[in-house]
Amino acid sequence: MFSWLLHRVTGIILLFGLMYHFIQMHFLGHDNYSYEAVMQRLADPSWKIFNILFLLSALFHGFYGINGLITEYVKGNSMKNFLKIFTLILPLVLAFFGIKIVIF
Amino acid sequence: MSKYYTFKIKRYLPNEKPITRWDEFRVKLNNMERVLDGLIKIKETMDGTLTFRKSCAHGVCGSCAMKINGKNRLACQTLVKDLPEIIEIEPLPSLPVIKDLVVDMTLFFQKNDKVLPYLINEEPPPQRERIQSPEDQHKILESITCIMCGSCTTSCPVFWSDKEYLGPSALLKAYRFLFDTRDKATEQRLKAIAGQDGIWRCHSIFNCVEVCPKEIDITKHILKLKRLAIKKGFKGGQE
Repeated sequence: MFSWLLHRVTGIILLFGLMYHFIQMHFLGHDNYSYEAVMQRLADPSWKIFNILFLLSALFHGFYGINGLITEYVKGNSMKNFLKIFTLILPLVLAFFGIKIVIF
Repeated sequence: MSKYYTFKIKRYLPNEKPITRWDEFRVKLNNMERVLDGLIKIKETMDGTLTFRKSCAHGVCGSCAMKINGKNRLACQTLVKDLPEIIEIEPLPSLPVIKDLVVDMTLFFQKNDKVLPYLINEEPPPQRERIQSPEDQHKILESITCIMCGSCTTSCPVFWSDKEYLGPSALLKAYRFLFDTRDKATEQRLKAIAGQDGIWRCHSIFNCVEVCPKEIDITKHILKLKRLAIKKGFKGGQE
């Protein structure tokens, strides 16, 4: 139940997060990237928090959707449960590596 | 003013080969007549083996729901003058066909039973009836008009792929009792519809709203159920 609500909330986060991400990364004219400038931005705590939130939202939103697809389209309960376990483990693994990259 | 119409009907004859085939009939109908009149005319004068369900013929019983020109509707409520000259008729999709246009509705009614479609109120009944105010009645008025023809559930893409899903019809029935002020089993009812195969499987596709012969906004009702479930969930109720 709360997963459904969280799916909606992460959807909204993704909508605005994606806009922010695109504007920041692709549309604002950052001419002449320098190593220092990129490193400085990546070291900014607010940038880190934004990216972790963005990552977790995307993972939850995406895997909730895949979980729904499996519930509806996969026939046979054992296959269904097998794939569903994957949709729980895989995002956790991805979140672990993602957060590791953002923080360090 | 009468006109000839071609009825293309998908037949399902379990004892013949091939089992399924499309039959064509030319029928003369005036512009006051409905698809059901055409079917009756075919059965009486052309092919007596044609099988379909009908009962009241006035849009009340919901027996004659079928897929007419690609859309689930009641044959008794569809005027032929509103349709093109070639009328294609199929049984309701995604339910097992018994013969021609008759489908096995067992699964559909099983879903209905799962949402406890009866009043639950432990309080001793008063001398006369349990009083309901007109305002309270208006809350559930739209959902009461459901005639359970099965058009909505069989038009739902989620139901097509996942037969475990309760379906719009059963959820509408759940709404009818959950928002009835005389009913007291809110927790029990929410438990029945809030599982994996209940309200959270509705993706607001609106197919059910498009086909409903009684023009009930079913998706809106399911969304209200979701809102109620979330509210109860935050208050610490079960699911």
